[in-house]
Amino acid sequence: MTNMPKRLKGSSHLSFRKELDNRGIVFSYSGFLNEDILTGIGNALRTKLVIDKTDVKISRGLFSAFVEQVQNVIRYSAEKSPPESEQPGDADPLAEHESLPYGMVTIGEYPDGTRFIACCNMIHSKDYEKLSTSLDSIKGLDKKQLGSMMREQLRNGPPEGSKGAGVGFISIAREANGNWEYDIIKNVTDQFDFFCFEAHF
Amino acid sequence: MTQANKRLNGHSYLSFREELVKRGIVFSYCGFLNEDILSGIGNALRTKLSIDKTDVKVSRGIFSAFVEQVQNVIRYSAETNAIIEEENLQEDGEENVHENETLPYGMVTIGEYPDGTRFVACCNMIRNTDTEKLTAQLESIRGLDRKQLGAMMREQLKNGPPQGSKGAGVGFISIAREANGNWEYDIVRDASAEFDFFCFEAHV
Repeated sequence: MTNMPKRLKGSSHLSFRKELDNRGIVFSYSGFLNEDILTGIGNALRTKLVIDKTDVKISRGLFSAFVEQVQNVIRYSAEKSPPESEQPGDADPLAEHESLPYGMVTIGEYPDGTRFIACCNMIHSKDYEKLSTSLDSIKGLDKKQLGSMMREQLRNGPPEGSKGAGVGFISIAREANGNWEYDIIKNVTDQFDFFCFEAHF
Repeated sequence: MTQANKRLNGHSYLSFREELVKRGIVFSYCGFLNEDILSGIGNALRTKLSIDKTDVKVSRGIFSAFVEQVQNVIRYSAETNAIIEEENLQEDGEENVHENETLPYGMVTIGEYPDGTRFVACCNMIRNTDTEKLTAQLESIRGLDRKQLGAMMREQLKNGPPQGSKGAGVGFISIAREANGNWEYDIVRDASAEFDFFCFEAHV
């Protein structure tokens, strides 16, 4: 405390905490993300579901949606440290390891008992159209329709520009029995839009 | 989207995000905590420090303050799933929830003030009945410098842990020492009938 003005305000942390409680949020992470954090929060989530004696089927759906949504953020978040423009080229073998994507994950429950997993990350504004088209194309589909769509995509291989099998959101939508939403806030910066996806259980 | 009203509001997340950026916060975790989350965020923090080419001494200070503060929260948060654990004990007549299945709730933020000072802040609920003891303990090390804290630590380690402590009783002394005496705490009284809200912040 030597020569230091008081900077810590417990009340500001507490009001954030209360805001989370009001919104039914039980886990909230915002920051740079990697697979270790995914595993860590995943394990805590699993323990929480066991302690709460959550129905096994719901737990399984919730857990897989959590894993797949966070993996999507890790793969596709356009906001990275260091920024893409400052990253060394392919010549640097460490490049991939040394880059951290930024994202947000929240897990919680609405007053009516519906559980939710919401993930948010920045996307490149130029990718907005492709992403919203692909999500709108699966809007309203039920578990069975999403399942057959998934099988078809797996057979045909990943679409161009995808780092995964291209079935990410279809699979999450299927886990959530078609109960999911997305929201995109355009032009948050000169190159990014802000993308949120939420699955309901 | 079948039958569900629109519930997701991207703006609410974006405004939270903007609030974090404004306060210089780079990592924020709030929720039930365990050692896995500690090591997960710890690894990401270490990577971030190396990407930013942070001075090795500063990095070490931030990292150990982070680890020790989160361990304190895990050990001492008064808010856990223990109530449910008690129910289980009654129902089954035997212990079927292990100690590591009790999850403490806590908050961790790591960030940087505009003047470049880095901070690690942790908050958790404590029992009203423990507030006085904790306050006295922290006040007793306020203003001490690295050397004084080191001597105090050695003495405590020699004398063994104080009553009621799950650790060596040197937790905050060690964190204060890592932070070269630059730390603060704040307790919001009567956060609920039973709990006070405790925050600790180390500056590195």
